[in-house]
Amino acid sequence: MLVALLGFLRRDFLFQMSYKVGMLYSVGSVLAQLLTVFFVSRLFGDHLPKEIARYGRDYFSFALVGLAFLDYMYVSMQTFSQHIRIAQLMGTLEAMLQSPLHPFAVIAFSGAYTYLWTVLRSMVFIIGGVLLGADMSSANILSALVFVMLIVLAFSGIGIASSAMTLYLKQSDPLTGLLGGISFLLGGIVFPVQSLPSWLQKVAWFLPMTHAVEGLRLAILQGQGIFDLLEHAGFLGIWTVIFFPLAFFILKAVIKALSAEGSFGAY
Amino acid sequence: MEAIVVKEVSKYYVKPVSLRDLFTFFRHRQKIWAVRGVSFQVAPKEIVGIVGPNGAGKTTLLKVISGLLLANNGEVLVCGIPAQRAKHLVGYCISEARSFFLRLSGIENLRFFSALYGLSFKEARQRIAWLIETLALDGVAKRQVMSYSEGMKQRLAIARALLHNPRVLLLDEISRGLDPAMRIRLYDLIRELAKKEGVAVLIASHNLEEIRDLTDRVYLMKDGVFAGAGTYKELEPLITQTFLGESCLSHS
Repeated sequence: MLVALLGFLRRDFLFQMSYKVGMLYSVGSVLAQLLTVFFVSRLFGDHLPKEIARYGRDYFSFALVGLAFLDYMYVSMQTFSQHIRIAQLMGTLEAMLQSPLHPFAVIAFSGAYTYLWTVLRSMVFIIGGVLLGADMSSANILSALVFVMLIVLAFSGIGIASSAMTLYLKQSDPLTGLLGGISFLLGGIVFPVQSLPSWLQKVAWFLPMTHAVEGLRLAILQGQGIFDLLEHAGFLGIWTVIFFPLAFFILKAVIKALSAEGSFGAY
Repeated sequence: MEAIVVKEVSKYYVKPVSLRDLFTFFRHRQKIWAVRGVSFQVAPKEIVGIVGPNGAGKTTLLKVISGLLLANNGEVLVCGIPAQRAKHLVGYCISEARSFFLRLSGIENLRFFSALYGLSFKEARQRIAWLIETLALDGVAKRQVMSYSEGMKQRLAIARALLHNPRVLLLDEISRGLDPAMRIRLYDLIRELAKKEGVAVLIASHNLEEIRDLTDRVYLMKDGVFAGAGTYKELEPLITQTFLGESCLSHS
C-alpha cells in the first residue's frame, strides 16, 4: 500500500512539474490572496466590529485563519472526483483498475498529492501572514491539527461520494461545487457568521465548514484546547460518522455496477 | 492446475436507461449479448488464440478473465482463484492506446504502474530495465509518451502487462502498429515466456498470421460463442470462411 501511495505521489509531482506555469500560478495566487486580505484589514484599523473583536485579534488574523484552511474543504470535496474524471478522459482509469490495488485505494491515493500541496499552501499562507503581522502567538497547535483532520474527514466523505457519482455518470458532480459555494458564503470564512441575518445564521450552523472555521479560530487565535471545543469537534465528528460510511457504501455499489456494465473505460 | 478455467461464462450489456425504461420499471431493457455460455481452459506453458471478426466478443471475454468485468453467468478461475481476486497473477495488455499518462515519460509510466502492483523500488528498476531492453524502448524510454508512435505505445503497453511477472498473459491485438522486425521479436518473447517461464498466454486477435504463428490451440469466436476449436491448421477453412464472409459483407 505504501509503495502504491508513493507511486501516486511521485506521478502527481512529475505531472505538476510538467506544468511549470501552473505551479507558479498556484503559488502566486496564495500571495495575491494574502496581500488582498492584508490591505483590506488595514481599512479596519483599530475599529473592529464586536463580532471580530471577540476573538481578541485583528481582522487580518481573523480572515487569515478562514482562508488558510478553506482549501482543505474544497480539496476534500473535489480532488477525488476531479482525478477520476481526468483518468476517465485520459483513458488511464481502466489501466489503474486492472492492477490488484483496490479501487478505493486508487481513488483515495489519487488525491494524496493534492493534500500535500494544500498543506504546503496553507503553511505558506500562515507563515506569510505572520510575517505581515498576524498574531498567532497563543495558537494551540494540537487543537488546530485535530480540526484540520476533522475537516479532511468530514468533507472527504462528500468527496468520495462525489467521485462515485462522477464514475457512474461520467460527468463532474455539480453538488459539491454548490455546497462549496454555500460554505464559503455562510461558513464565516472572511466575515463572522454573526453578520448574517438571524435566519441565515441558523442555516450556517448546520454547515460543517462553519464549525470547522470557528473551531480553528478559537484554537489558533485564543489557544483553546480540544476539550473546550467539543461542541464544534463533535459536530464535525457526527458529520464524518454519517457521511464517510455512506460514501463508501455508494462507491462500492457504483464499482459493482460498473464492473457489471463494463463501462470503466467509457467517458 | 490449469492457469485459466472458464466455465459457461455469459456476459451481456444493457442499453443505457431510457424514458421508456422508467415506465416499464426496467423490465424490458434490451440486452446485447457479447459472450454466451463459453467454456475453455488454458494450461501453463500454453499459447491459446481466440480469433474472430470485430464484435465477436473477444475483448469482453478477456476483460472478464482479467477481473475488470463481471460475468452475468458462469465462473472464471485464474490459477484456482476467482478472477476478481487474481489480478496480481494476470498481465493484461489493454488495446487502448490512450491508457498512459501522456505527459510522463515511458519509464515514469512503468514506474507508476509497478507501484500499483506493489513492486519495490529495486524490483521495479530491474524489471523495467529488462523490459525496456527486451522491447527495444531504450531510445525513447525517457521521452514523454505523447511523442510516441502507435507502435511505441503498443510496446509500452506490453511492457506494462509484464511488469509484475504474471502467470497469465492476456493479449488483445498485440501486433497492432508494430513493424515486422518488432513483431518477430515480440513473438519470440511470448514463446519464451510461455515455454521457459510457464506463463499461460491467451491472445485475442483478428490477425490470422499472428494466430497461426504463435498459438498451440485456437478458438474461433463468432457472435459471442465458440464456433470451432482446434489447431490453426484444423480450423483454417472455417476461419477463412468466417473472415471471407465478413469481408464479402463489408464490400457489398
